[in-house]
Parts: sequence; structure tokens; C-alpha cells
Amino acid sequence: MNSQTTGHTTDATPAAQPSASGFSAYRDAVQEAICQVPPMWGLRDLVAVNPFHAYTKAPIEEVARTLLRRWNVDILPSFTWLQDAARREQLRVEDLREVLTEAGDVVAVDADELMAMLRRGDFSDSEVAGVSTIASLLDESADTTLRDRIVSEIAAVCASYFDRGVAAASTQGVDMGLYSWWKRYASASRVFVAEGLRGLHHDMAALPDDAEASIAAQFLKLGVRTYAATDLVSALLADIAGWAGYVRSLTWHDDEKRDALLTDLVAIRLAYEAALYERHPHGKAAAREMASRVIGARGHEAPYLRDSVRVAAMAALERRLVEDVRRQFKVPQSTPSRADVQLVMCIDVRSERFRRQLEQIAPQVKTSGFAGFFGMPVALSPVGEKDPAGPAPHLPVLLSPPYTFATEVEKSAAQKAGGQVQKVFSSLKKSAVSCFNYVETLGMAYVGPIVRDSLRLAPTAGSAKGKLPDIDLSSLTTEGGADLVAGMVKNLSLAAPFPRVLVLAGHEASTTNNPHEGGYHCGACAGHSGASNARIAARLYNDPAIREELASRGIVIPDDSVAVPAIHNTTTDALELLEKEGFDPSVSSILSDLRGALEAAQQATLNERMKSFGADVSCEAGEGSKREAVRRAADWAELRPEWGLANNALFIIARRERTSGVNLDGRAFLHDYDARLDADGSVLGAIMGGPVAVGSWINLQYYASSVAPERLGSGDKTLHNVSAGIGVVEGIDGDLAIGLAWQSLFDGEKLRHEPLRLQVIVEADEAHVRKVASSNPLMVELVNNSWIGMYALSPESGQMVKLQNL
Amino acid sequence: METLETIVAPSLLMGTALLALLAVATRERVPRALHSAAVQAVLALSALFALVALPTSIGAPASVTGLDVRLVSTLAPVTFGAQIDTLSLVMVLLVSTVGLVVYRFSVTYLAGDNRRNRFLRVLLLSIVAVLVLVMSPSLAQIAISLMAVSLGLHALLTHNKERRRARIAAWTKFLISRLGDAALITAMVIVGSSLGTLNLDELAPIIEARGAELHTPLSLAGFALVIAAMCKSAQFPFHTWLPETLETPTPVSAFMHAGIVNGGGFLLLRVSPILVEASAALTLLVVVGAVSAVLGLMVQWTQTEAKRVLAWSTVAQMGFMMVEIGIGAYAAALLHLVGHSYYKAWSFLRTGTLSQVVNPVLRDSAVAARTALLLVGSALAAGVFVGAMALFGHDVAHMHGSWVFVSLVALAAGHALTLRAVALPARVVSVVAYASLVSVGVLASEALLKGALLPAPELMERGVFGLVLSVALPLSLALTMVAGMALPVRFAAGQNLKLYTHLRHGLYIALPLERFVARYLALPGGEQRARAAWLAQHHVKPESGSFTVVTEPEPSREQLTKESAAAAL
Repeated sequence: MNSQTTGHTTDATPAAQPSASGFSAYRDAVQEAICQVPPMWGLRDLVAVNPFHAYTKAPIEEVARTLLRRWNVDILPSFTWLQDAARREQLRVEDLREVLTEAGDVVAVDADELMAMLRRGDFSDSEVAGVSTIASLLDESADTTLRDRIVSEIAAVCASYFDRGVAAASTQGVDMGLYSWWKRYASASRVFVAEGLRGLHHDMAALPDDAEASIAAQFLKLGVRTYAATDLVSALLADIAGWAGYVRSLTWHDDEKRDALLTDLVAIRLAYEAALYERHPHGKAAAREMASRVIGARGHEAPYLRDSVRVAAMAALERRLVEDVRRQFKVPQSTPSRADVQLVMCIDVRSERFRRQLEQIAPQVKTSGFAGFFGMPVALSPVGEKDPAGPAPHLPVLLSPPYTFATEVEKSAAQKAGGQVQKVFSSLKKSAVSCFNYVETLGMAYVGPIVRDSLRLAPTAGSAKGKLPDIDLSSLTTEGGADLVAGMVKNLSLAAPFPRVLVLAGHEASTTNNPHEGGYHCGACAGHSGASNARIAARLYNDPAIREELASRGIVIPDDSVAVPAIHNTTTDALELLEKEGFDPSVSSILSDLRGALEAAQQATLNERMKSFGADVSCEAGEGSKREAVRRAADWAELRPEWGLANNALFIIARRERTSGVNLDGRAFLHDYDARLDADGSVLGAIMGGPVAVGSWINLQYYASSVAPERLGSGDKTLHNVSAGIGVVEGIDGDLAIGLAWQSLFDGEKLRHEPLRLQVIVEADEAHVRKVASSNPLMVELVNNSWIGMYALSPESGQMVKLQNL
Repeated sequence: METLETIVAPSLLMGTALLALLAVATRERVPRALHSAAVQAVLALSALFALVALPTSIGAPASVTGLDVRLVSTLAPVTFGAQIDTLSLVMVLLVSTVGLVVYRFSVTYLAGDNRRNRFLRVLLLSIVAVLVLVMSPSLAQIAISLMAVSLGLHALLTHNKERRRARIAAWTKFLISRLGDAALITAMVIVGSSLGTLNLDELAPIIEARGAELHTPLSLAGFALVIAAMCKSAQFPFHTWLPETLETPTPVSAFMHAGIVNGGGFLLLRVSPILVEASAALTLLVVVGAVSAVLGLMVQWTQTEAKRVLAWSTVAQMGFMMVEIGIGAYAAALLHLVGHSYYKAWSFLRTGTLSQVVNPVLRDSAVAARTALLLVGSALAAGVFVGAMALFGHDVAHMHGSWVFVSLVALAAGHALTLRAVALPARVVSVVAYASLVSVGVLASEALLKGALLPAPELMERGVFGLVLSVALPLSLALTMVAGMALPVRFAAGQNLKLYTHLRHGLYIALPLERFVARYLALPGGEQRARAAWLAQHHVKPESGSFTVVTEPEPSREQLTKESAAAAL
């Protein structure tokens, strides 16, 4: 990665003038930093994000050094944790030996000696130091809070600009660019008087009206050379990672808008640096200090020994995990026969337990794993609701939805009238003076909701409980629908042979009073419930016209094969069918048997899952664990409704027979794959391009938040404060929090997510896997630079090979 | 009433003592679930007692139970214990229920936090202190318990003491509280030296007998009490602590905004006999309350963080309550205090629910048309309100602060007519229904407090200033309503952005004190240590927010040789 070669120099006194072409000299550097900003989706579409997504072009150790410099964050697991694993015998010397041999003895000590050092605790975690902004340096020397204030100011500007309806009066929708709006704001704000900086707003008023011109002018003032600009801009954007990330997600499919908005943000953040340089009594000294520290960091470009040790120890832990699983793999024998029921669930690690339990209870049910949006690339737009962020995507956020469907929940006349009354009262509650009499007269009525919520009297929400919205599919042509179904049939290897009843179970999580609800829903559906996707997929599968069209393409779905949508509630592990009537008697009887099995599987799964839920939670098997799970879903004070995808570490692409009955402890993504039906590798290619990519995003999100909770996690949920309806801030204000909260990773005693990289096991010949993976640039990057591990599991011999150097 | 003295007061006192005991009891000896159940049971019982006793207390004289302590020889003995009457029973009911909900919430909410036990203990002690406060039979007990509440709150506000901003907020609150204490102690000295007693039930008879000759000291005491109340209930310019104190777990905010912040309002209702002779102080209260209400509202509109919206709304709501007290509408003020508490407790605890905090406002640019509708609606509402009151045999003209009060109700209900997105018949029905509903609330609260509090002098009869205020107050609130319609439209159109910016910062009123606190009281430093300890315990490496340490620490001996080997690679 070129960050290795770009050093940084920020001279306090501009020695050489940058070329007169102004911004164009810096364009590439700024552009590079902008493209490396990790996106952050808003609360409505909350999904996991790999914060290193733009850095995977370089090996993890090298990136560790780059990010130390730019983000001031150490992205490798701490020695505290690794040495603890060594003492607990989880980290073993034989694995370490293997890993060190593989890596070419990078640490120049043999495995036994290194192991002894780790056990003794010879290594200690160091403090982090990287590019320092002028604001941070000044704070450090004078106990001020300049950086916090700057971040709060920028966050306030962004929150007002993008507000989804928290504020009664905001500038959302204002007809000016972000930079222009900020300039008006900053020219008026007197808040820096509190830091002894009178007249800073005059400096802001004097800035150029154009963001690019402003950046060029500030760089010139600070004497930043073009080749140092990327590091500096990255460090500045890291200060406002939340809002920069939101802007990035908003413009994910629109590069022009992305460049415009993020350039604005760079100009905004940089303007404060330049203003401090000019106006703060120690501004110039701080700038000199910044330059000297940056030069100091340049001497350390080769990987640290300690980093190599940590990567090796982490790899040894991963090796142990993979080995343990490999030894349990089964040898598939049966030739596939037609199943009465095939239950398709999301590949999400939370499905693993349920599938295993269900298969034990009802061996006649075949289960498979598939991306939870069932290949339905749609966005949904509820009738009558206008959202500034547009229709809600129900597909992996990296894709752009080709279809947008309107949805509408049928309302009775009484409900509609009630809606009008509610509108009036909600307005009275929020309006001047009316709000006073409102609480005086109606405040006492809030005893009702208080009692309801304290005693959890409200029924738990969930697709299976409420009335489902009608989805208007009329804009979808028969050909379009047939394309979607054909894709699903192919990638699921459904035709081998078609089951009598195909249950498509999307997933969602019922939680209460939880702003991060989306994070618990289906990631493949952009942080929404998978119910709508399952219903759309089932409807298309059952559509006679589409079947006719498919038949003409050579895909013949038997007339008696029927799809039924369902929903898996991951907090309570209830799996419920979303259509209960209108089936012919034989299907009905199959479904009624299935329902019994699903209930039994729910109980069995909960028995297993709740047993070790948390530090102070130990539930006995049976009703107790169910009660506890339901309580967690319904309790408005509960910060850990479930553990989400914590501890994910494996991605197994194989026939289910290979893993059936193996206890994977909810740590594995399971995707069905039969290499014999995929001679050209197109199915595996699709799995790698979609689900594996998403799996690694999720994995690295958990990884990042657990190794660097302070910078790449969202802090303490008890302090969270919803900002602009888009994200949360920790405490009173500031930047939007990114990543996962403490409570999502930590149970009060120990980390619930082991920071390990995703290990992908593909059941296919090595050559086949290598061929497919090599043709996918992302897989090449991830594997070669050690962001994931990839293995080929021979279908015949059961031998496993680790793939390197794709 | 006999029962109040013989059953209710001892039970409530015992309950409070039991809670204090539970708070200090070591958690290690008692299983957590049992302990928490016991706390909740006692709080529930005390709420139940207050509720059951409430009807018997209406119209009855206060019953005082407690110990008489002779503090100063010239002073009548000061009583410590419980004064049970309608006001204290209402407050006990409120504090017990809100305390119960917040405590129950916290037990779950803070699971996994290694400081949970300390948190729950301090929370419970704070609840106890508020209970002691609202049962106070004497000014001395009020002062002592208010200080205890403040200290408890300080401990809760610094729960996350590794956060410097939490400490800045806590110390800001601390300083303003001490100012309030100083004012309260001043009031006590004046009252004690001029009336010879600090017992609340003895104030009214003395003042009724010789109020005129005590006019000057009572006026001064009134001012001191008003200043104390302004500090405790977050009134301009002492409001700044309230929006700042959000750096602490959500249930603390809920308890603060639904329990603790009521301290000032309760204090003034309690000392209403003194206020009879302190009309100037009451007039000041009206002005301060109105300024706080308008300021709070306008700042609130610009806030984009859910908890900040709620915090500024409390400033405004407390301002309105102070206006009501200032114009003598005590019953309405008490109703407001209770209603606001329940509303705000629930709203805070629910801030995690997106649909609750995100409510896009329809921007209707026809401000002139809406202003006209507001006037029409207000006229209609005024008619309905006066008519409804008359129907129940209440002549509005004899109500306290009648003109001001009626105009506020009229504006509030009239607003419903301006919601042009709703069908016109529905809007008219809303105006009528809302105005009648308000009248029911007012009547009910008047009936509840029947004769319990001495009436304040009429605002209009407080000289020229009172007259001016009677006109200026409704007018300024009407203008605020128009601003409430106009500003969302104007900001979104890119107009008045300077005003937006200043409002977003709360007009910078908090800054001087905040700067002082940051410089002298809440210095950085502690957080590094505290955070390192916290993270080490959680098996996570500490990360320095600062850059003082340059890259690597010194490598060990064996590492040194390996490092050179590695570098060679």
C-alpha cells in the first residue's frame, strides 16, 4: 500500500510553496483519504461495517502500522488477552510452531521460547501514538477541550443538516452545500470564547466560499506537502469518523456526491486546525510539534516485532479452532432424496444452533443456509411515509436495489381516526406553550405507559405477531421475477430435487427500547427484518406465471412444491410461519407437524444458549430459559437482548451433511454448497462475492470493536443519546459513535467475542477453490493479506489445505 | 385526621428508614434479587400508603410527627420528622413511584457494570433524601435534605468519572447547588430571627396574625427562597447545570428530571405562607419563569440529540411551573409538577426507542394564516374553558392569576386549530376537547389542594409592574408560539441562521461557569488512570487519547536481538 512510501511532513513555516494550482495539487491525496473513510449506516439501516474495508489491499501488519499513525489506534489483539489465552492453554505451542514455520520465522525465536514468554507475560501493551492534530496537541499541553469542542461543532452542523426529525427546527433540506451551511454557522458561533479564543468566528467568516479553495489555502498556511496530505486528512477525518462515515454510506452508490460532501467535511475540519494555528498563542508551536512527531513516527516503517508476535499468536488460536472443527466433520454418504420439508435459514451464525437442534428433533426436515435476503434485491417504501434517506433497502448495503416496492399496512377507519387524534396530540406535546398545558393535564396519564413498560405488559413486537404490510409487486415483470427465482434455485442447489414444502425463514430480533435494533436484525436485509424478503421470495416461487416462465427456461418446479415464508426471532429463537392458511391438506399436515418440531427446537436451542448467557445469568433448562429470553426481548431496560453475532469466527461452505450434528457453538456462518453441481464455479463465485464478503465485514466489525473499543467501538450503552435519528452519541453531544457498544461484546466479566479473523472453509478441491477465489479480486486481497483464512476441504478425502498466495 | 398521625406518618417514616437501611446494607450478605425485591416492595408500599391516605388528607390540617430539637435558645424547637398533608402525600406518592421505576430500571440497565452496587446504593440514598425532603416539617429539614439530595446526585453524576465532561457537569451542578444552599440558609436565618420558628406548620398562623409588621423580613426571605428555588429547579440564569448533566446513565437523568429538579417548586409551595407577604419576590419569579420558559423552548427546538431535547424541555417546563407559582396558581403548579414528572420519567427511560424520539415536524410555511388560526382558536378555547369552569360552578374571574392563566390555556388549546394537515372538524373538536380537559384538570387539582395553601396576592394588584406583566406575559408567550411556527420554516430555508447558531449553543450562557469549572475543579488527569484501571480489568489494552508517549516502549533484552533480526528480514 502506498502509505508505506508516503511519509508526512508538515512544516510550521512554509518553506517551499506548493504549486499555484491550488487544490488540484492536493486532489489525489484528499481523494485517497476520502475513499478510505469507513462507511457507517444510520440507525434505520444499521449493518456491520468493516472499518478496514479500504485498507485490505495491504497485509494486516502493515495496516496496523498505517492506522497507528493515522487513526491513533492499535488494531491487533492486546497482549493482555493473548497472554491470558496462553495461560489458559487455549493458545498452544504446537499451533504456534506450525504458524511460525508457515510464516517463515518472522519473530526469530522458536515456538517454545515464545510460548514461555507469553505465559510469563513478558510483553506489555504499549500506549498508542500517531499523527496528532494541532487541536489535540494544544489540549494536551493546556488542559483545554479544543478537540471536543471542534468535534461537537461539526457534529452539530451535520446533525442539523441531516436530521431525520429529532429537532423541531433544523436546517435539514436547506438549499446550500454542507460547507456553505457550516461556514454560516461557524461565522456566527461564539463558543470558542470559552477557550479564550475571541474572534475565531471572524477567521471562519473570512474563509473562501469554496471548499476546495479553502483546503488549498489551509494546506498552504500549514505548509503541508502534498505527499503528507493523505495522512493528515485521514487523521482529521478520524476525529469525525461517525459523521464522515454516515456521509460515506449515504453516498455509497454516488461517487460524485461522496466526493463533494466529504471534501466539504475535510475543509471544515481543516479550517479549525488552521484557525488554531493562526489564533491560538501556541498554535504555531503545536504545528511544529505535530511535524516533528510525524517525522518521528516515520522511522518505524518495518513491522514491529511485537506486532508479528501478536499476529502469530492470533493465527495460532485460529488454527486451533479450525483444527478442532475439522476433526469433527462428518463424511456425507446419502444421495439426496426428496425432502418433505426444506427449511432455508440465513447463513447468520445465530441460525446454527437452531438448525442443529431442529435436525435432531425432526430428522426428516432438511435445513440449508442461504443469504437471508433470499436473493431479493429490493427496497421498500411504506406508503405515506417520507424519509429523507429514501426507501429502506432490504438487501446487502453494498448493492444498489434494482427494485423498489411500496408497502402498506391496512388500517381500519378507527385506526385512521386515531392517527389523526394522535397527530394533534403529538403536535400539542411539542409546540410552544401547548406543551406546558399538555404535561399539566395529560402528564398523569403517563403512569399508564410507565406501569406497562416496567411490568412488561406490552406484547412483544415481531412480524409473526402484528399485521403484515401488503407489498405491491406489480412493478415486477414475470421475466424479472423468474430471474430472481432462478437465481435462488441455482445458488441454493434447490433443484436436487425440489422439496415438497420449502420454508424460507428470514430473521429478525425483537428488542425493546433499543436504538441499535437494526444491528440485531438481518444484515443481508440492511439491518431490517427478513420477513418481507422471505414473503416476496415465497410469493414469486409460488407464482404460476413465473413457474411457466421458468419451465420455458428449463427449470421445472413440480406443481406440488410450495414455498412458505417464515421468520426466526433470534432473541427468543421462536421460528414462526408467516402464512398459516390456504394450503392443501397434505401440506397443512406437514406444516402442523413442523410447527411442533419448531417449538421443541426453540426450547432446545434456548436451553443451550441461555445456559451461558452472561456473567450473572444462569438459566435452568426448560421454561426458565424461555422466560429469560422473552424477558430480554421485552424489557425496556435490557441492554443485552442477545449476543448478536458475537464470537463469529468460521464460514463453512459445504454440504450440510458435512457439519450436521457438529456443535459449532453459534460461531459459524453456514452456507450450503455442493461442488459437484457447480462445475464452472459460478455458484461458489457468487457465494464468495456476496455472503463471504459480508461475513468478513461482520467479522472485522466485531474484531475491530473488541480490539479497539475506545476508537472503533461505540462505548457505553448507558450513555447513548440518539442524535438526529441517525446514530447515537455517547453522553451529551459529539461525533456519532461507530462500531459496537461495550455491552455487545462484554458480559461484565469477559469478552464475549474473541478477536479472531474469519476462517473460510470450502468443501471442494483445492484447485477449484483456488480458481474461483483467484478470479475475485476481493478474495485475493483478503486471503493474501491475511484478513481472512481460506481452506479447501476435499470432498473425497476430507483433507484440508490452507490456501495462500492466491 | 387521626389516621394520618397514628398510622400514615409512622409508616412512611419507617419505610424511609428501612430504605436507608437497605441502601447501606452490604450487598454481599443479601442475595441481589432478594435485596432488589425488598427495595421495590418498600417503595411500592410507601406509594400505596400515600395513595390511600390522600383522600383523608384533603381539607384536613397538617399532621406533624417527629422530634423537637432546640437548636437556638431564641428559636422555638425545630421539628425533624414528617409533616403529613395533601402536598407531602402527593409528593411521597410521586417520589416513591418514580423512584421505584427508576430503581427497577437501573438494576437491569447496569448489569455487567462493576460499579452497579455503588450506583444502586447512591441512587437509593438519593431517593431516601428526596422522601425526607418532601415530608419535611421544618425549613431546617428541607435545607439538610436538599443538600443530601445534591450530594447524592453528585455521586451519581460522576458515575462515569473517567469522563472529564461528566465531572465538569457534576461540578457545575455542585456550585449552583451551593449557591442555592446559601440562599436557603439566608432565608432560614431571616425567618428564624423574625418569626422565631422554622417549623412549617407554625408559619401560617404567625404570618396571618402579624404579617404586616413582618413585611420587610418576609420580603427578603421571599427573595432568598426564590433564588434557592431557581438554583434547584434550573431557572435562568442558574439553569445551565441541567442540560449539561447528560454524561451519566439514563436512569439518573430520569430521576433527576422527574424527582430532583422539582425541589425548587416544592420548596416554594411549602413556604407559600411566606410568599403571601413577598409579592415582589413572586413577581421576580414570574419574570424568571417566563424567561426560562421562552429560552428553554427556543433552545429545545434546535437540539438534535434526544436527551438534550428533553433536558431543555425541562428548563422550559420548570419555567412554566414557576410562572404558575408566581401568579398564585398553586394548585395548577402542583398538577404540573406531578404530570411533568411522570411524563419526563417515561420519556427519558424511553429515549432508546427511535419511533419515540424521531418525529418529523411538518413544515407549514403559511405562518400568517396559522397565526390567524391561532387567534381564532384561542378565542374559541377561552370561551370553552371559561364556560366549562362556569358549568362546574367556578367563576374564572376569582381564580388566581385568572387573566394570565386563561390566556395561556387559550393559546395552548387554540394551537390545535393551526395544524392544517388535520381535517378542520377534527381540529375544532380538538380545541374544544382540550380546553375542557384542561378545565377538568384545574378543577380537580383545586379540589385536591382545597384551602391547604394560602392564596398569593393577585398579579394585577402588584402595582404597575404587575399590570405590565399581566399583559406582557401572554403576549410574549403568544409571540413564542408564532416563532415556533415560523422558525422551522425559516431555518430550513436558510434564513436566521445566526439565530439558529446562538440558540443551538443555549445562547452561550453556560460557558463562563463551565470554563471556570474546567480550569479549577474538573482537571484532566484522573480519567487516564481510571480508564486504564477499568480497561485492564476488562482485558482490553488501554489507549491513550493523548500523544505524549512516542511509539514503542523500551524493548526487553531478548527482544532487542530479535528486533534487529526481524529488521534484517
